[in-house]
Amino acid sequence: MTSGLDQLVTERCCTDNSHPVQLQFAFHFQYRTGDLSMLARTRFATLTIAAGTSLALASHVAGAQQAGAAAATVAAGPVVNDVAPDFTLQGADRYGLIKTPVRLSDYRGRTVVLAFFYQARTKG
Amino acid sequence: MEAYRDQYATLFNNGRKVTVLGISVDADTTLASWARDEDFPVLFASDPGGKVGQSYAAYDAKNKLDNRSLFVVGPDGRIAYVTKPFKVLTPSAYTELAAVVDSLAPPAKPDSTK
Repeated sequence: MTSGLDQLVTERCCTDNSHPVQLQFAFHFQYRTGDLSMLARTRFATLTIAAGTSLALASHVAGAQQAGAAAATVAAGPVVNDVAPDFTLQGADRYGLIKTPVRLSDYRGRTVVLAFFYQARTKG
Repeated sequence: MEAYRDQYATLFNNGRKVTVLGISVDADTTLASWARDEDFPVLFASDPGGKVGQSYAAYDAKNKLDNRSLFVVGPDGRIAYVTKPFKVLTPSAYTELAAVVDSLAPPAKPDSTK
């Protein structure tokens, strides 16, 4: 008495583990009640849930990838050929504090060696 | 920064259009007094919150300090060279840096009219 729908559900139950519990429940319930329409309804609902989950998952993954790429750019810092991020900071030299803040873009036309270091009075 | 100071004359000076800018989270007064004590010929910039360090990915948020990172910014404002970490105490670290600086800012030619 296996119908085409049963065959489809059986194959799906055995080959696709995405929603086995609902399908197996419907599959067995069908034999107890003889109600094929319930199996069809359950299967439809299951597929709807699966499709919705897939879409939500896909958009979530895409969003995460975009956020990841942006975070990676910031985490890695500028690379060769990037425009150096401009900044304005209070400056100092061996003669004391510098009155005008140091702005990187003011040094266009010169080569600037930016040397980040741990802390004053540390070796190196 | 002692290494920069010791290499300064050959690497960065000599009539070149080069500015060496040391950046750390120290207060500007701390940097000024250290520069005076050690007679550093370079310029320092104070980045107390590490904001600039973060934009260059040099800042270590856990220790709230900048890691040793070196960026050479060309006259066009673009990054020409990056080294992370920059091994300041390793003499060979300067060989590559010297080549980059040479290509961007060659030493001034001796005046042939004299």
